[in-house]
Amino acid sequence: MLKYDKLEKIGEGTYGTVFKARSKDSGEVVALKRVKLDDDDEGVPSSALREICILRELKHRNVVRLYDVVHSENKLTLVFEYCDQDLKKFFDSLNGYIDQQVARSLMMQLLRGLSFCHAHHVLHRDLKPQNLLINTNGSLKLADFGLARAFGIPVRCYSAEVVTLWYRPPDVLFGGKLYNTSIDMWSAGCIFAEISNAGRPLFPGADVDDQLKRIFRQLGTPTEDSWPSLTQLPDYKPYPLYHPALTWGQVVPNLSSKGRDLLQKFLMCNPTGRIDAESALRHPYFTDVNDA
Amino acid sequence: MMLRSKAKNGTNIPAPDQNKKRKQETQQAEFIVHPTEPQPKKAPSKGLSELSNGILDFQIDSTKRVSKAPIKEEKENANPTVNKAAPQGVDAIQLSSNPTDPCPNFDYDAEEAGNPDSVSEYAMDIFRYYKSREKHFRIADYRAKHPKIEPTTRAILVDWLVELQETFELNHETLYNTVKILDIYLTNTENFMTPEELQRIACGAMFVAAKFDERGPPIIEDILYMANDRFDREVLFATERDVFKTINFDLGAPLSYRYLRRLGRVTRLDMATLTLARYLLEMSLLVYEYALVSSSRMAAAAYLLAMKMKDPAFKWTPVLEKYSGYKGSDVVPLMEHLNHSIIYIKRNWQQLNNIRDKYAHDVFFNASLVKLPEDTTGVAPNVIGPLPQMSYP
Repeated sequence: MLKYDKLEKIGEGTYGTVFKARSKDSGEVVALKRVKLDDDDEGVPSSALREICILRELKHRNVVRLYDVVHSENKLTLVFEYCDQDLKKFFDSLNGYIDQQVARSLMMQLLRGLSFCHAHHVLHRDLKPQNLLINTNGSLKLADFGLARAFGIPVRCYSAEVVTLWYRPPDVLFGGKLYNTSIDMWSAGCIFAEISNAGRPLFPGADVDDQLKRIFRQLGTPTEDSWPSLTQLPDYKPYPLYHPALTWGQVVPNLSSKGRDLLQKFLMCNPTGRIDAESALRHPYFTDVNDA
Repeated sequence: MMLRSKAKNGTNIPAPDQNKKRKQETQQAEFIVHPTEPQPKKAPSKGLSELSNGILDFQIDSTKRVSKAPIKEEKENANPTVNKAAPQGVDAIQLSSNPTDPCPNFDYDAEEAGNPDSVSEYAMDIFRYYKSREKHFRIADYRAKHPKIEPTTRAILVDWLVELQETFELNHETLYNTVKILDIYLTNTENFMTPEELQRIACGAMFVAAKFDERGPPIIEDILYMANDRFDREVLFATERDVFKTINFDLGAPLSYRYLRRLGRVTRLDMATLTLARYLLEMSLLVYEYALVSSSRMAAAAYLLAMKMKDPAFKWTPVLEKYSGYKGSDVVPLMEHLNHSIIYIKRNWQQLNNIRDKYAHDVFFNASLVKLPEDTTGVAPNVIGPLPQMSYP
């Protein structure tokens, strides 16, 4: 890499090491994601190939920018805009308190980025705090599109092995492969609750079974009435009919009533009922600025 | 020619064991949403079929579908500096929907609001976005850059790719994308292609196209086998990188197949006629000239030709105008040209029969056996003839 001076290792992405680096030409600080291409493997990893294609298309202030792709002998280097930290690290710095105006701003930016992706035929499929980057000026950007894919219309069945467990919707937990943009909206809901609680995860399940139990204990166990065709999902199995033990006021005490209303619209077990990103942005939680 | 085609022998080449295993997995995994769609080699899973029927019957309240205006402004103003900096630029989605909507009283996506696979909240945005991106994938006439590539060489190659698509049960999107990638590659390169080289590049193109869209693992051994082991894995990987780089790392070209699907859905076209249109559109892949035509217009022409074959009196409708963006007069000359070209192919490229064989099957409604309309172009039967004057897209 002649054009950049490496500064430090930032972390490991889905398929490669990420470095902070400075451009020799412009002095600009960037993030480099290096993808090794071993000939004994599968060639360019599908995740890298998709991330490159998708991010070349998506140019939005709430989506991390891919500036360049550099191909050298046996590696690809993706050159991204540099962001100061991710939402997870930001939570760690909060010491359990978050200003609800900041929470609202972060959520609005997340939804703007997401709405842009969805209107440009892209599902992210791995939304979680670690994949949301934050700059010191408060801007938020969707990142790590290693699990993302472009979808056609009508959607086909895609992989059910997507989304990190805590942020995975019940339909996909039950093995559902026919999903659409609603898959990201569930994750957005989980993140919304987590932001409003300054970083306490909403459903930190240990495995798929525990994850579903935690969800149903809060939302009530869905039935064929609330979710027709539920029992035909590939990995469906019955769960006890939990009734919500905690009120939303107890679960997300910092959220206003409008915020709680919006949260429940994300966290619909039946994907068909989940609110979409565009509609969420028109919710009174965002449009009524006097609502604290 | 140099390229091999199994169909000429009239026998199927047995795939290596690895392929069989992959196919079995695919049969279980790859169920297409619509139980009525022809899928000859894939056994639909009953459970999922019932599921999708259940979902189709289920309606949600339509409050989700309210005006989208505020967000669109956000999109357009998203980042004023972006377009200049972006290597391929991003097109703001056009704000105003067509000011003279040819049929304001029909909104397919509103009707589909309860159907999750329709992604009705975003369908109109996405198809507008596709159209805005077509210009980034426009194929320049590359014949002068590659004087050694005969139009028939390309046609043979596409015919062979159809065979790959069938044998390995790839999505049709992968086939269309492979052809597109190949054409973009040839637009961006010069003057070195023998048919063997061209076949190797086509394999690299199919490899990246499959990784982009298919759920299954890459098809390395399959590809090498089908290419008669003319090259090995290392060469395939090197070709993959070369292709990916040469097309500027962008595999997301708007595909005519997707536009045709959209037209079929908004008009709730029966599967037999949609399949006929798909056959015609797939035949268009064989013709170099159509690589230069906008994907959305090509889809519209195939749709119109299929309708004419079913009903000679059929006329382009306001619904088709609304969802294709073309008036009938924008499509008719290309439709007539396509009809002539398919007659030409049947007469002059008889050995390139993979598409015709595929669509002669019952599950494809014997689409390739349906009689074509009279050739009205006046072009000699032994040439394809020049394309009609058209804008792009």
